[in-house]
Amino acid sequence: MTKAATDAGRSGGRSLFAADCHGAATGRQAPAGSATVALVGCPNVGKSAVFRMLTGVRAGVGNYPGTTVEVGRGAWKLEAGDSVSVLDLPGTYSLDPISPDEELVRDLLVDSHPDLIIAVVDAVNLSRSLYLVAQLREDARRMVVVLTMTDVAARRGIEVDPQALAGVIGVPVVPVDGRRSTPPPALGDLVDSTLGKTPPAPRLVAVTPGPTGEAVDQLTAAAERFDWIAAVEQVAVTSPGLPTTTRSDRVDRIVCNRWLGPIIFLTAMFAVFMVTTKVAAPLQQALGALVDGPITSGVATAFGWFGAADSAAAHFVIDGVIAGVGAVLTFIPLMILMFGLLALLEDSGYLARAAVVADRLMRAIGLPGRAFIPVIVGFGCNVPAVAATRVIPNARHRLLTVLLLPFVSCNARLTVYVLVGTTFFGGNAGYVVFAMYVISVLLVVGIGRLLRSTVLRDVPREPLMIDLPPYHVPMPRLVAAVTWQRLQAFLKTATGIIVITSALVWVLSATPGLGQRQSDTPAGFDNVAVADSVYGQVSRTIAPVFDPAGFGNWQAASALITGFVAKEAVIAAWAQTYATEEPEDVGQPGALGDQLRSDFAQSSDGHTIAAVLAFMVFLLAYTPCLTTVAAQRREVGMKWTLFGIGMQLIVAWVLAVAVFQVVSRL
Amino acid sequence: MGSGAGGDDSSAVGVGEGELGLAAAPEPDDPMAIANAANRSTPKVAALPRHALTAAISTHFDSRCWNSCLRVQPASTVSQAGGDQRGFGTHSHRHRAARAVKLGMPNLQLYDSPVQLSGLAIGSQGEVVDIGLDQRLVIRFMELGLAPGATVRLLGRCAGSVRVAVGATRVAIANEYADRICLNDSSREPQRSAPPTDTDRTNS
Repeated sequence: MTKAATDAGRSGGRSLFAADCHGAATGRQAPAGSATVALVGCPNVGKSAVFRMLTGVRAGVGNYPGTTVEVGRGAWKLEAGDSVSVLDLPGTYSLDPISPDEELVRDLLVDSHPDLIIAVVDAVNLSRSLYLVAQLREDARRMVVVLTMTDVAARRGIEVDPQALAGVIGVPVVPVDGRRSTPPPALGDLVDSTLGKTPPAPRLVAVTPGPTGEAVDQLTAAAERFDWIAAVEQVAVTSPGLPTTTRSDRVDRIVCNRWLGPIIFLTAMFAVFMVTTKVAAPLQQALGALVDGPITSGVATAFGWFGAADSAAAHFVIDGVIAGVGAVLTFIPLMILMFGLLALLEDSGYLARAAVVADRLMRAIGLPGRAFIPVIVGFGCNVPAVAATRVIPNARHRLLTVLLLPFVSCNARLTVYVLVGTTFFGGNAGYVVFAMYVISVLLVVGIGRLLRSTVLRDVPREPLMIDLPPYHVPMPRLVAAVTWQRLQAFLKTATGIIVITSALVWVLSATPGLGQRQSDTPAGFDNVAVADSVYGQVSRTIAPVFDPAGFGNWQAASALITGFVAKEAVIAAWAQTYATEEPEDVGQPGALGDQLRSDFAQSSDGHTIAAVLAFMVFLLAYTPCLTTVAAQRREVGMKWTLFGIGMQLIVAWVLAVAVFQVVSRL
Repeated sequence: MGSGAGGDDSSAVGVGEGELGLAAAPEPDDPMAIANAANRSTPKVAALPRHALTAAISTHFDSRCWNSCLRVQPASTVSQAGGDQRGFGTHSHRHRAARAVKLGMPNLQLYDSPVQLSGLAIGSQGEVVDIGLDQRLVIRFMELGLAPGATVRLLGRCAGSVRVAVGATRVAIANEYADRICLNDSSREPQRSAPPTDTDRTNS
């Protein structure tokens, strides 16, 4: 392939592929100026497997710049020696989009011609796959068709003749076995030679405008394409055409049974929930212990070698930077389990069935069936839940789900509920904690409806209509590759924001404030009481905002600021603020409980219960943690993340004030 | 995320392989009688309460299978006169007629029914009769293989959806889209019994 030859066919939109998408993905990328190959095809045709086969596990995935649409990007080194950049576009049935993902594909293919298109078609469902090919062939484009699932087709007695197919559609056709780890040499050679040629002449469309010049309507054009497909099939496909029931149909009789289906679905979701909470927890604790123990000790020892073991620099590195890195590290097992499970569900074919079973329930709140998975996971932890929204194919549905997930009450909040509940409600704490979960569900439903009727009016409302792929045993290589790529993308996005914020919080709490001091002891940098630090003063400044909610004391405000970083740290922050021991068992708050009772009673003028309930509602509804924010930023971008934070704070404040004002008057 | 290979290894295919229906369109079962039944009921439809409308609309279809039909649209979807305004709509009658002839399916004369469809209509022989939705959704149905004339098989119902097989493709459709599905459950093959009598069609 020569660059001069490929340059001839490159349009002005080429830069859209070559440059802009670099920010969209992690992993190994082709050198700048490489030809761009776009991988397109219907959902469930094996496109992802072909992408991994071409680019290996080092390819990356990420949102296309300016969108929330996920694309894969990687480098493919051809036999001839050149590398090409491969873009894995979302699955689409045609160039007539009904979702943002499909719109992006249409825009990229129609407006910004890639150097070459690889259309992945499924030999079992050839007619369905060929509709997109028919549309693509209506313009002069360099194209190669990759035929997948030929083994399955052969078992069903369907024979597709690649040569005959190539002859009748006018572009080369290469059968590919998606289970292999490397592409057949013929594919590389064909891509290389096609890149060096001029694009083939477009398909002659058999429909012409009417005698009065009226435009051809979409249905007439579609009918023409189906006629073309029928003609192609007649030439290239031999099929027994007998009715039968497949093994997948037999499995679906159980899995999609109207009674058994929901039970199987709930069991699967329970398993996902348990794995992401119970199984991940010990691994997270082990990593946390590693960070707090050997790593922290090692760094402290290293500072000791320079005589700076107790210096501000050592404290900054250990309590600021390493604490932030540790927070990210502890999420790694959780994210691996989450992404691995999702990849398994997707690759096995069950995810599509889960979407069907949960669809009616989720549609009540304006979300597709697949959104059930992130919501369930969210009750364990919002971070993997946000990541789990990747299973939702429509970008607008994904955005709505990501914005709603922070209202799902996670386990980290549970510890605070229990401590506060036990402190103020004693034996009735269980009812209060349960009420928090009920409020959480109501918030998801209510805010979902509010968003759909305001800023997200364009979220599609179409009822379910999806293709159910056949079941098959997931390929470990593919599951591992997808898990690794998603983990890599998460770490890349999350690490920076978490470490920087963690360090910033440390600096604020180590820096003496300028205002009136609360303690008599002398203060200096890294040697100041929390109440006298900038952090304490910021808390005092914010505290009056919560007066109408009955908890306008600076200790509560500082706990909420800390809770923005991590809800797990709220109790520790209180303990530090009140200079008491952090309770080992949140069900027995001890001295900390006494302090809380005193402060809440004071700030609420005696309406303690109302203030505590308001505080708990605020804790439930506002931003869950910094890591969730980082995950949201990765999924929906900074603009929507900031919108979400603002919305959560407003909702939380309004609810807290309402709860206090109502309950205090009862 | 597909694998690119694998899948279940059954060795045969579903009903209507070559699913666009171009090769395996079923014989029509007295289409004129159906069309006439539709026309006869038209004046009654507008004057009836909802539950009666439901019954009246049902006469537009093969009454033998109506007990197993999924859903009947409420009164709001019934137009007073003329063709439906969506999907293949009035502007596409020419297209419909041409396609009906091409498919050898005079059943498609139901396109001229005054009853407005709001989704997929499948006849008792498993044939997709019409799709009463906007163009982009009609095309999406067609892309999934559910073009008018295609032969489908009902696989089952679950949680507000219906699963159908069209060729080797399996599609799940929300009941809202499954306007009139006059097939029995699936586990049986499509029924190919004798055409119904006029009495069958009008006594519901």
